[in-house]
Amino acid sequence: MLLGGCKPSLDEPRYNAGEADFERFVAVGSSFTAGYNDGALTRTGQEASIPNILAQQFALVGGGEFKQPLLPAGNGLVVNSLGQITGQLALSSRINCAGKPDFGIANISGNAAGMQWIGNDGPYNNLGVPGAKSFQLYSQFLGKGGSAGNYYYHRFASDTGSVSGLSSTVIGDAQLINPTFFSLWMGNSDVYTYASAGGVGVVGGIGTYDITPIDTFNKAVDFIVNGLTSNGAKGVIANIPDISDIPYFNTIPYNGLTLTAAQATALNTVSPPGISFAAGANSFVVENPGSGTIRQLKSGELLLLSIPSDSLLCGGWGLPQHPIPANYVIDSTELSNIKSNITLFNNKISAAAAAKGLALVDVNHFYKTLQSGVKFNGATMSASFLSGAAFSLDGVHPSNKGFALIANEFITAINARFKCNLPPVDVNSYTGIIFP
Amino acid sequence: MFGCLLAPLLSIAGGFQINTQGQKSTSMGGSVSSVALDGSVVFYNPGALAFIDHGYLNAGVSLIVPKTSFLGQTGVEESMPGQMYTPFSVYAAYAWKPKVNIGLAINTPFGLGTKWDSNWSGRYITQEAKLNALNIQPTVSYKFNDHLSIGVGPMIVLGNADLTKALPYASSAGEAAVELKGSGTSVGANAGVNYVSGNFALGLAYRTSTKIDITGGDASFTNVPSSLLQNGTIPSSASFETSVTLPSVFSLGAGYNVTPKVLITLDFNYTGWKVYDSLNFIFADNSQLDSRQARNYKNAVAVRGGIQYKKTERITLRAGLAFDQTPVQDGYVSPELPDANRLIYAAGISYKLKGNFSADLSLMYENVKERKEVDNMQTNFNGTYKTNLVVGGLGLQYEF
Repeated sequence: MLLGGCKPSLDEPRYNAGEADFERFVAVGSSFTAGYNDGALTRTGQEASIPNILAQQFALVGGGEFKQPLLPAGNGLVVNSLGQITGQLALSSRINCAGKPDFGIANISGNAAGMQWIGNDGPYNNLGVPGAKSFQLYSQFLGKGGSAGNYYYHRFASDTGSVSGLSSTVIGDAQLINPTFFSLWMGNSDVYTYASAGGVGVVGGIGTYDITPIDTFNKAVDFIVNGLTSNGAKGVIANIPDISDIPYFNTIPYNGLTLTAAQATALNTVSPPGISFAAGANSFVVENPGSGTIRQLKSGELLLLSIPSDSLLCGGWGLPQHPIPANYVIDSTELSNIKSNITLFNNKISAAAAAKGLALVDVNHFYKTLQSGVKFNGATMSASFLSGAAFSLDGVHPSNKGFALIANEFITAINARFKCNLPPVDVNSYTGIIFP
Repeated sequence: MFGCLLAPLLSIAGGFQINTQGQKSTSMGGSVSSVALDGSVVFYNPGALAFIDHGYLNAGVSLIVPKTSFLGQTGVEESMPGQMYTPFSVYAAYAWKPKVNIGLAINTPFGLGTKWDSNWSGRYITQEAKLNALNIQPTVSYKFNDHLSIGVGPMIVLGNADLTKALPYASSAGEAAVELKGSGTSVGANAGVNYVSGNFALGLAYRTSTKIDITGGDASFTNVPSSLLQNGTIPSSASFETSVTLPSVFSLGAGYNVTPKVLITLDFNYTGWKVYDSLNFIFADNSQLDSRQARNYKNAVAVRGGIQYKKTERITLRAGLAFDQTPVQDGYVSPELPDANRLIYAAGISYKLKGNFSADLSLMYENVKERKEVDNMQTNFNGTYKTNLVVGGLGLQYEF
């Protein structure tokens, strides 16, 4: 019997780079570019980073080597402002204070060896720096050690400033690649740090928990885009999603306080004026910052995922006796600050894309689509925390699956702008949530 | 053509209809609703049963060897691993009284079988699918005169489904999976009219649609993360119900004896696939698992032609050609049944053995057209499918 030749043959797909040249690709941005998720930078996250996924696809049409400042394998690392290191978050199964099965999420031990300087092994193609704000991407302090700089960039900066006192810059290191193509996803850290700290910072400041002044942001975008395109490189730029579409900010409902009629009546007798309860779902009680007064949350206001869940479930948090501390709350003023600045930042990103002919990835819109779920090869992923699989255990950063979904959005935008036909990546081969 | 004897997929006509219901008919492209060649007439046209002048016992098995390749949206080509399916048919036709003949058909007019690698890109849609409908059809046929006859028989259909797919819930032990198994029965009818005049014959046959209700189906979940079992997201097993509606088939056929040795036939089929509009799995006690998927099949036609040549007393040669239209519309092409329009080439030989025995051999090649799914409505599972399919058949006949 003839054993060969019977498998039906399908034409090999032919891919082309269109008007783009992917030979030397460099990626600039923050944690979302670095591959940071599950609350830490890990090697597996770096390998699933959006730029690394893009580089694999670019390799189909002439893309060259894509070198990342990889950590050693293991639990990864997250560095706090004091330089203390822990590892990524891990999901565990537990019986909660109410006797119900649910999940625990906690950091596991980190890998301090990952902090070793590897800048002499560069230049690197992925210049995603967790926590870096727009104006820090050209800061000559960022690569310095200690709290003055950024621990993550300090790892792989080409010059940590040990001699001159001034370090290399992220944008300068990017130019060492002499890129033909770049990706830029900046601005998240310019507003999310304010949001994830419950709005303790100021609007229009350059501190860690502040929202960057719009003029500063605009200037940073111009400087960075001009720098990256100075040698004629083409590129792709992504905008900033709305925090209301991110699990860290939308998982705990403002009205998650469920009461019986008797409980409501009893609470009403001890509540100050303006606070009242009824049977069913009620708004949580929160403290007003600084004043010692309390109030009930309004529809649209957000609670952070970082609220100790046992305190909320069993510790009486959210009742008049135990108002939720203000740093877990994004009130309507803070929310409006955040939203209006995201809009301003995104307007600038769109304008820069139009001015320089960049592909624009509307991640802001994609996150809205993700709320109800998107399908890839039969699997549905959504923005729901844990069950949706698109976000990692930190609730802010995408899971590896989420990175792959967003990378496909990048590819769609690049294909449309530069008339190429890169295939999407197989999202389902990336890790979502590993359940215990 | 026998080269790829190790492959899967048992859909060998449009949709999940199986048209190899006898080796002689298969050899002629299935174009036999106007003529009574053997006991399979009970199934192809109960009306023509009245025109047999002696009895037939036919038993046959088909060896179906399909090969499907899939080029997905990510640019990776995947092929089904080797599978083989063997639907069978048994017919008895008895010339009972001068004007009344009776018969019995036991066959599998519908079925499908697909099996992909368990970790392939479409695993959340299907890893393995098996569906078959066994038809038991006692039949009576009445001849008004030497020209016109009718026949009818109830169809008792025993349906069986077994579907396995992966679930997108992972633990350190890998992904979960679910197997859905169930069976059900239904009743329909097969009726036909036959008109014969000299060298010319006309046949008209109609099989009704039947709905197989599967209640008490068993869903068993494997490799589910223990935390999701604990919190009730997924049970370890559950009961479901579903139903599959098999379509009606209308056939119009003509046959002409060009010479005493040469018969040519032509058939037209119209299959009422529109009834297969959705496939729903409902879990009474676990409604979070309910699945409702539109299928939206459309009615489909087939055109079939055949020729038979009685070379010698012992040897009869046959050949056939058919075009079979797919009922699956763009947007609904699924890897359980990556269907497309197909061209069918067939040939066969009958050889008289000792006594009243004879053997029938058939060989069929189906060229299923390349099918490109751009935007699947249900799953976003897009790509290009291509199937080739070889069917060998062996039948044994006893005449009395």
